[in-house]
Amino acid sequence: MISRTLRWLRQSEWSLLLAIFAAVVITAVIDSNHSYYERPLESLRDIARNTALLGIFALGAAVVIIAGGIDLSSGSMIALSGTVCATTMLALAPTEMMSFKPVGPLVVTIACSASLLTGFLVGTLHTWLITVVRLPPFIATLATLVGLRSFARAVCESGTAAMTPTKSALINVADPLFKAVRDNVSIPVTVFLLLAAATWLLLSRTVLGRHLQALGGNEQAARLAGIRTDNVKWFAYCFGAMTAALAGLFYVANESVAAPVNQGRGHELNAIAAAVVGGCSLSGGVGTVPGTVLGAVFLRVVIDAVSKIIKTGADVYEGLIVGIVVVLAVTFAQAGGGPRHDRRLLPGALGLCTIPILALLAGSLTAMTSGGWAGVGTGMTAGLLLICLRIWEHRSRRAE
Amino acid sequence: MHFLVSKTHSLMNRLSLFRQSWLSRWFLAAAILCSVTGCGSAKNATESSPGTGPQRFIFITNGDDPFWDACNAGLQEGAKRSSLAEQGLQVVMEKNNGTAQGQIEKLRQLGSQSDIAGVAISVIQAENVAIVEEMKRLAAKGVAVITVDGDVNRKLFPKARPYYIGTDNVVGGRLLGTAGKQLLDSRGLKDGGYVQFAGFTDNDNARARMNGFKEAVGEGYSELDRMADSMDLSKARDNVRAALANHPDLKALVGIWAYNAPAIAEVVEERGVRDQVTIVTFDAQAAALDHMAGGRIDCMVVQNPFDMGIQAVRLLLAMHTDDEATIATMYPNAGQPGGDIYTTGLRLIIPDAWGEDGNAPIKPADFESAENTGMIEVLSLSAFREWLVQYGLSSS
Amino acid sequence: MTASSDIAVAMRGITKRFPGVLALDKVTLEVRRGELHAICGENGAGKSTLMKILSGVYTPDEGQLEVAGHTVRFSGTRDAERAGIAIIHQELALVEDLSVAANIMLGREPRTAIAGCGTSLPPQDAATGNPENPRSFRVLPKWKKAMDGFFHGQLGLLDLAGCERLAADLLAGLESSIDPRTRTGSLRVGDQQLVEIAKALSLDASVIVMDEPTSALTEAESARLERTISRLREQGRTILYISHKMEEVFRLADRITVLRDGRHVCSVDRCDTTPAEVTGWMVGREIAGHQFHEHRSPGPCLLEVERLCLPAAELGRADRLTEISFRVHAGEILGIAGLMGAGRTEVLETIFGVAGDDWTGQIRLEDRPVRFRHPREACQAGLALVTEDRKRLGLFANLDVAGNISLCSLAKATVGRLLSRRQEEQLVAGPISQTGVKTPSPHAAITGLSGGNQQKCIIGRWLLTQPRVLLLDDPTRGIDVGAKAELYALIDRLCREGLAVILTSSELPELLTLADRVIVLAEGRLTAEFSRAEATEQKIMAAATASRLAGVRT
Repeated sequence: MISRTLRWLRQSEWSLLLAIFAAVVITAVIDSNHSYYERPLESLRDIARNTALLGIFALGAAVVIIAGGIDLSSGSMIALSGTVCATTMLALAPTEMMSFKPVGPLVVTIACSASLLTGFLVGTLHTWLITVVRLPPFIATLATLVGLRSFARAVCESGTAAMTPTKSALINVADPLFKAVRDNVSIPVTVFLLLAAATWLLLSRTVLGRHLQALGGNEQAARLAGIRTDNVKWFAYCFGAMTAALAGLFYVANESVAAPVNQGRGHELNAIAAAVVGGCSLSGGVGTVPGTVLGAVFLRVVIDAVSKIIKTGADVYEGLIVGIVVVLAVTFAQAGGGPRHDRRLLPGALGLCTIPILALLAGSLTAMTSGGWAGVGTGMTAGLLLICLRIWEHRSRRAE
Repeated sequence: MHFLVSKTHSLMNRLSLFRQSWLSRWFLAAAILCSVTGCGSAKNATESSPGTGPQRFIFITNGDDPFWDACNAGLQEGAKRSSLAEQGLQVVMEKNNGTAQGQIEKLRQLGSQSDIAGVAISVIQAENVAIVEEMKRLAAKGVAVITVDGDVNRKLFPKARPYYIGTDNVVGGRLLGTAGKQLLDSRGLKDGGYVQFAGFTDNDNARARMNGFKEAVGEGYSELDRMADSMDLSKARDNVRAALANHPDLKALVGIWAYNAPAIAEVVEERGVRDQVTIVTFDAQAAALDHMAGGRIDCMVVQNPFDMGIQAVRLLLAMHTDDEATIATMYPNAGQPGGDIYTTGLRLIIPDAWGEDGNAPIKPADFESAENTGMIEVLSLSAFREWLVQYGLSSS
Repeated sequence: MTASSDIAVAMRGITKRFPGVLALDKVTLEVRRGELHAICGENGAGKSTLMKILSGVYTPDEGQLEVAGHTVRFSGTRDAERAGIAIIHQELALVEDLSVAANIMLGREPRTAIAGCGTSLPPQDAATGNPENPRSFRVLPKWKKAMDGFFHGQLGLLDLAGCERLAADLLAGLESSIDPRTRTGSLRVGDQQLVEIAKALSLDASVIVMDEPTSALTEAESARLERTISRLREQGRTILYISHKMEEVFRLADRITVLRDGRHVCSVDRCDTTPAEVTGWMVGREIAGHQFHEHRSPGPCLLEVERLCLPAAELGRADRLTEISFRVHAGEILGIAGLMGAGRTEVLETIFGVAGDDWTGQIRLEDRPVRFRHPREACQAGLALVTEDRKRLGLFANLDVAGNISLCSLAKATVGRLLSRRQEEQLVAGPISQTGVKTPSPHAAITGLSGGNQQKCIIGRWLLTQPRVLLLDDPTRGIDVGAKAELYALIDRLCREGLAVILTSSELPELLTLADRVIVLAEGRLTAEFSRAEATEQKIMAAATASRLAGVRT
């Protein structure tokens, strides 16, 4: 019974859950405001909202990665989808949009459907480029990464030039339906959880899901086993693009504006990081929905922890800390398959060079945040620890 | 017996290997994480106990620019003048990344922290509903919220914030337009085209300045384009190059945001067309001052971010401590339309040479009038530089 | 007890563990200098692991290695190479995009004498290959070695001409006329293997390990290899030969060591034993040389191929298939023989719909003309193809055993529209028992199974689709003797149940054991067709090597 429960999540996912718990506890203790004690609901609400927004298109990224591909264009798809939605609303109800009045549920429905349809079209474009034109997925989605955002800007500017007095690079969206989504964190969270449940069902309990895994595991063998690989890829890329389109709608609601210049810029990497931290392998065929969900939660918890601990100027360090955490998380996830007895962490000349690099990193981080002497101290401690590690590894190897 | 020993031996071997590789990883992880979290706690070690540590006033900018460094200097000066430290308060500037999303996130983060006494924000998009909602939510929690330099759209969101401190950008635009018109007149150019350059063309202060300029420079000159660069410095320069290439009858280049000035000056220098165009700009970055000294900028209208900082601290403190008297001094017409605006001064900076020259295109006397006193000052470059040095600034 | 100076290599008490598997259990092996020592065992017996430990790829968990009487510790293949041990892997370890010369000298490229940084060739020991003075271990202090490596290392320009000269000399010594500048990827497998041997020779190894060297070679190439081996032995080198082909072992070896399940079974002189005894030790039981093809009664014609032509994939090359015609009946096994590259796989793939729309000709399934554009259509029509390279084209390492078997028949594992774990287990239980797959559970990882069991899983996958025509492309490649016998019995049983089976193989004895009729392909053409009664190995080989130009007289 216990083993069945334990098997319900893989080992790497349990350790991810543990890591999330550890991060929350560390933040709660170290944060001098103790915001997690004093205002738990608000922090929870913020983390939940951000997780839902990231998670919606991280699920799409995970499905594409499991199918053996990669989608670098999610961030630009978010921008395009938001722009399409806002431009459609502007086209159907220009006066209401410009005077910040409600446009009516029918217009909103049409606009949202237009966005999702755009997602489907972009996914189809990706599939065509990859299966017929035979571009590698990296190249095809790299092209759309830059192309879609530029297209979105063009749509925004021509749309506003045609329908409003001035050309503009953004469109404000003040409709109460979007406001309701912005105010109620339960809406994006519910959508995210429903989508996660549906994706889980798809991947683990449907024939299509099994075909997706087979395609990602070995594409040639999948074709020879009678799987229509082109169709399965079509589904995967459309799913990825449509989840990004859905996320785009939530982004617009969250920011109350469709701003294709910078909306979602760089966020595709967060989605891929969430999928990889949650156990997806970039070579394809491996990955689960619970893992991806936990990966998204973990990423957002860490980012929030950084904001809470380093109160001012937190975004300066955010990227660095997220990078370190992703490296550690994926290393532990890989190690979950059992310790590798014959692997040293600091081998040879490469290991010798790595020691000063890591010591410098630790030292400079501490110096920038806590002052010069603390930095020197931390750097030297880290260096000493690593040198000890190296000597220990060397000795144990000799002893064998 | 031998069996037992060998079994234990192999078990120990296995354990040690297991321990070795796992321990190595934990070592590394601990070394790195310690430094990171340690730095956070070390920083907060100066604060005594939770919740009763210094409360903070936060100033959220719209982006990163030396303009805000001058403002920060003003904030700290204001903190000194208002003796914030004795009252257990401090003022901190948070630089945004140039997106609306960034400001929304920062406002939300501040909402979930318990030591915030007041927030001043330079709103990056005047019509952004989400930013306004977050500001209102903060205010509902008892945090004092004001806008500085970049305001929300006052017609759309009348109740967004109680007070605004900043330049009257329309007046600033008009000032620049008047100066520009006089310049162009004195050069014998009665008509022609001009292009305005800013970070975002739908930012409130950018729009106000551009409209003011257009109004003041008059019908004779046509506005060929308003080019936005999203606070990307290389884009700013590319825009200038594009303008020079696309409009052969370009007579004037107008820089609206602080970093547009050096961008215009350098590109015009690069293209060697200095004698064909008139350059008028807003704000005085250190580089822009150098360009003016070198004759590459004709004149500039300068805001006073230093004063904005001082006044912001003063107002936030007054709101936080319910100091009605100070508020009444700053906003004598509170309650009436336009009574929630405190305008900080503007200066028109002209090259030193014009001060002595009787035939200068712009003379200080042109701008002396009843309504301009205290609002508009005409200074020569060196006088302005002295003022900067006095407050330890390099730019404004 | 042999004198210790006679022993070139000794491995004592070697134990190696991988996660979940004990690969070697206190294996002891002594190899005398100058002998050809054969190592036999089934797949999974541990032969490759043992040899990888000897050549420095792995380190043993317990036990020690001795080279020429000195205890040594290898931390990588370089150490083993410096000790004079070279290994020629079964899966060739060449860089396809580099030239032959570059591959041979990889990592030890000769440098021009620039800036006085040493001689133009890496230093060699004076006494090379002399049986009295085997190449000794470099006992320079470590820092000197490092400096030496640095200066002879990344600094210095490549001496390309010297490289090519060396390579040409080595290849000439191996009876090969390959141009050292050829791109390695364009060579045939047999020639690539020669390049590997040349590389081992350039290392001046005194102990050469060969891991199943003839598995991918033609008869001519195997003969050339044997001549090379005798030349190496004349030079006094010691050879370790891993194989499970009894004819080879008994022709070449001086002594034979048998491993089974990671343990050492015995080491005997060749003259003291027989092939049947050795095979018996390998599998733990005697294998009878059964002939399967008796008493089959073929039914109606199920598949007919008429004048099948497949043009070349690239311009300027010869057609891959020209005018192939044959028939297969229910309850019969048709064997397709031919050399590598003759077109056997192409025939099967074209029938199965892998080649898309490129081919011309007629394929009739039960008298209905068919044209499959995708393997799915072929699968639905009742065909099944078990591909040749199961790791690359057949297995899904990320799915478990049940997932691999059920992949083509997932519709049967559903309850409603959703897959059910229990249904799937019930579904795959059938093929698992029918084909005799040995696996701890249906949810075990497929990579943990031996080659034979993996192949059975794949066959089981296709059996679930209830095909009427079964296409098998070299199904027993890389599978040990015991599992092979089981596969033969399985194929025979399936055939008697009414399937039509087309079987491709590069092992003539296998075809003669199983097939009712044999067709022979050579360079894309059908050169001969034999019934079992007429077929002999010589006739088949003659037809397989018949060149296009044979018979053209002026």
